[in-house]
Amino acid sequence: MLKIINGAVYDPERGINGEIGTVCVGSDGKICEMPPDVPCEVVDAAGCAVMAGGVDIHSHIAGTKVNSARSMCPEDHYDHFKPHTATTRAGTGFTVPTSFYTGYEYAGLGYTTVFEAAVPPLEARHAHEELLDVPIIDTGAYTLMGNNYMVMQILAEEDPAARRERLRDLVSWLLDSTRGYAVKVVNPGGVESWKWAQGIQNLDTPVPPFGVTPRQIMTGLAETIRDLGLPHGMHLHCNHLGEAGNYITTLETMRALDGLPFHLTHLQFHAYGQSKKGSLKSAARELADYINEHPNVTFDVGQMVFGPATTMTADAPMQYRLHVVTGHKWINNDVEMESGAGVVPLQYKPTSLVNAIQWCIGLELLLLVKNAWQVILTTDHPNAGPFSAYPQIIRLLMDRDYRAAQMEALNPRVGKYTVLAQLQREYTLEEIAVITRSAAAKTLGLAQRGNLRAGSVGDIAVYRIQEDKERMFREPAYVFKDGSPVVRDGKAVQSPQGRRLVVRLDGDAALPDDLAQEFHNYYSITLANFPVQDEYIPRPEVISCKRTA
Amino acid sequence: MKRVIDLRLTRVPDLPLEADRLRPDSLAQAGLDELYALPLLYGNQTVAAGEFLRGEIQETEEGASGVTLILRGDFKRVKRLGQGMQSGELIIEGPCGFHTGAEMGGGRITIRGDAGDWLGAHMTGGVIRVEGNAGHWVGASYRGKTQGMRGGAVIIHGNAGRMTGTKMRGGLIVVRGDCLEFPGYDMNAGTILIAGRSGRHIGSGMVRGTIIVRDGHSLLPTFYHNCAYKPSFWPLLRSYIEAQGLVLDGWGADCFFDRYSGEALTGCKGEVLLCHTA
Repeated sequence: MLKIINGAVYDPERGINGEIGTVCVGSDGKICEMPPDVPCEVVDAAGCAVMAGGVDIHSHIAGTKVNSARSMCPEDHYDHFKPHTATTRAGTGFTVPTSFYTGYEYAGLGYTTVFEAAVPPLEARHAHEELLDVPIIDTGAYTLMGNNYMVMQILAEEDPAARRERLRDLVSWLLDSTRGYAVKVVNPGGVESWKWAQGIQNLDTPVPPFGVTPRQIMTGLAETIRDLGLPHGMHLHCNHLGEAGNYITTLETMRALDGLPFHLTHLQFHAYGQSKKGSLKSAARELADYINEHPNVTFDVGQMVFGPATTMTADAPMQYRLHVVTGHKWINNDVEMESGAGVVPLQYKPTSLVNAIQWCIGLELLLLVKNAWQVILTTDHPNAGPFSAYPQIIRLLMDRDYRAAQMEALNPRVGKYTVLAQLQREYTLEEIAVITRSAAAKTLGLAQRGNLRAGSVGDIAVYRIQEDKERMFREPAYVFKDGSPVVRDGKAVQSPQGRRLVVRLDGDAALPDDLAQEFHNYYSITLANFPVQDEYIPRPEVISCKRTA
Repeated sequence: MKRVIDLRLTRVPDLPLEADRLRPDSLAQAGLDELYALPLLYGNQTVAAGEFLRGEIQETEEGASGVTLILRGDFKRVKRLGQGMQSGELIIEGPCGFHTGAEMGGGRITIRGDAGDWLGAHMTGGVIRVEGNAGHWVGASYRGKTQGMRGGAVIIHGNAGRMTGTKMRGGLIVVRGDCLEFPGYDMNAGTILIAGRSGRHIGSGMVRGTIIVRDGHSLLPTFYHNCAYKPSFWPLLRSYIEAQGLVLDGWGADCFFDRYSGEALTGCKGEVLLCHTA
C-alpha cells in the first residue's frame, strides 16, 4: 500500500496538469481511487512532479543483433561500467549496455515499460531469453514481418478473399509463436530485394521472387492488423531510410496507408529532403504539415544525440551503405526466409554538417507537430543515440535558450538546410508527460499504462521540479513499480523481474498445411522447434485483441 | 629537488598485480608510509603496495629536479607500471608485465629486462626504452578502439612480438632485433623501424605512415615499388635514435632505400622503405 501526497500530478489523459494531489496504489499493485483506510507507506512528494512510469515505444535492448553489437564493440565498454551493489548486478556499456544494466538505467530515468523493436521470428527465443535478464521494467517485442517469405508468398496469391484469410492466419501464427506484441515492418520488400541484388526504387517496384510490391506488403499487413484488432498498429520503418529526398517516399507511404492502423518509427531518419547538390536538407515541415492534418498518424522521432552510437537494424541494405560511406566495422546477417540485419558503430559529431542537419530535423519534427499526442520521444536506442540522453532532449524541448546555445556548436552551414533556428516553441511539463509516456501507451493500446487512473498499473515516477530540466529527468526522486519503490534518486534499490506484454488473438493460431510444407522445405529448423515456449514468459501480461473480421 | 624512490619487489606475486598507481609523477610528494599504503588490485582483491614492495626515498638538492622511480626485481606479473604517467622517470631493473607505459603522455621509462604485451599502448608522448625484448601489441590500440599510439617513442633493443604498432596514429617504434607478423597492421600514421628480420604481412591494411625494414622478402603484393632514393629525413631519424642510446649497425647516414607505396586496398598512401645497403 502506497500513498504519494503533496505532489504536482501530471496525468494528461485525465486532463490533470500539475494540480497538487494524492496518488494511491493498492496492495494489488494497481492505482486506486480513494485512499484506503489502512496503514500504508506515505511518500511526501512536495515540490515534485508525479507522473505515470515512462513508456518507450521503440528501443533495441535484446536479441541477436544487440548481442552481436556488444561483442563487436569492446570500445563501448572500457570507460562505462558500474560495479555491483547489494541489489544490482555489475554491468558495462554505454550505447549498448548489458541486459541488467539496461533495466537499471531505464528505471533510473523513470521508465517502466520498454519495447524491443525488431525481433526476427527465428530469433524470438533469444530475445525473450535476454529480456528475462532485463530487470525492473516491463517489456515486449515486435515481430518482424516486412520481408517474410511466407507473407510475400501469400500476398502474391490471386484470390483476394483467400489472400486476406490466409494472411490473417499467418500473422496470428507468427505473433503467437514468437510471443510478439505487434507487427514490425522494416523497409518492406527492400531487404528481400537487396538479397536478390536489386535495389528498391519506389513503393510499386516488384520484389523478387513473388513480384509483390512494398505497397502491397504494407497495406496487406496493415489490413490484417485492423482485422485482427491488434492493440498496436503496424510499426513501420519506411523504405529509403537515411537517403536524401526520402520524405517523398514517407509521404507516399502515409497516403497509401491512410485509414489503416500504423505507426511511423524513427521519423527523423525518413524526413530528408534533397538539396540542389544532392545532399541532405530538412523536410520536417512537409511531413509535419501532413501529420498536423491527419490526427490518426502517430510517430516516434528517433532524435539524434551527439556522441557515440551503435546503429543496428533489420534494414541490412541500409547498414551496408552506411558501412561503405563511413568505412566503419560492420556485421551483416541474413535471417533465412525472414529478414536481414546489420550493425555499424558510429560517432555523431556536431561539426559534421550531415549530423547537424539530422539533429535539427529531429527537433523540428518534435516542435512542428502541434498535437503532442501524435509524437513520441525516442532515440531509436542505440541507433541515433542511447536512451540515457532522454533528459537532455527534454531540456532541449523545454528550454529555448539552451537549444540556441547548443546550436552554436553546430556546423555553421546548418542554418541553410534547416528551420530549427526559427522555431520558438517550448514544451510544457504536461506535453513532456504526453510524449514520454501517455502518447506511447495510447498508441500501443495499453489502457492501464501511461496514466494514473484507478485500475492502472502502479508504475509511477516522481521527479523533483527544478529549473534545469535535464537534471530533473536524469534523477527521479522515486520510481515505483507496481507500487513498490525500485529507484531512489536515480539509483535502483530493488531489482524485481518485469512482466512481458504479449497479445492474445481470437481463434487458433496454426500454420496452414501448405505453408507448413514450405517451412519444412526451406527452414533450417523444424516447425516443432520454432515457437517460443511458455517457459520463456514466466510473467506474461496478456492484452486481448478484438477481431473485427 | 631531485627525488629518487628506490623500491624492490619482496616477493613475486602469485596472481597478476595491477600497479597503475606506481608512476613517478603521482609519487612526487608521497612518503614511504603513504607509498606502502597505495591500494593495488591483486586478483579480485585490493592489497597495499607495502605487501610487495620495500625500499627507500632519497631527496637531494643537487642536479636537475624531478622524480625517479626505480623498481628492482621480477615484475613480470605486475601490470600497468607507469600507466598514464605524464612526467618523471621510471626505471625497471628487471622484466615487467603487460600494459607498461600504456596511455603515457610524457617522461621516460627504461626497462632493463623484457617487457610484456601492450607496451606503450595508446601512448601520446614520452620515451620508453626496453633493453630486452618486448611482447606483442607494442604501441597498439586496445581492441575496438580506432587509434593506437599517437606520439612519443618506443625504443626496443631486442625483439618485438606480433602486431607491433597496430592502428598506430603517430610517434616512433624502433625494433633493433626481429619482429613477428603484422608489424604496422591497420596503421594510420607514424613510423616503425625494424632493423632485424621482420615477420610476414608488413603494413597490412595500413592507411598512412612509414615502415622501415631491412628485410622485405615478405612484402604483400598490394605494395608497389616507386623508386630508390635517399630520404632527407633519414639522417635526422638516425641521429635521434642514436641520441636515445641505440646504435643500428650497418644503417649508415647515407643509406639508400627502395620505396614501396601501399597498401593498395586502403588507398595506397602508406609507405614501406626497404633499406638497400644495410
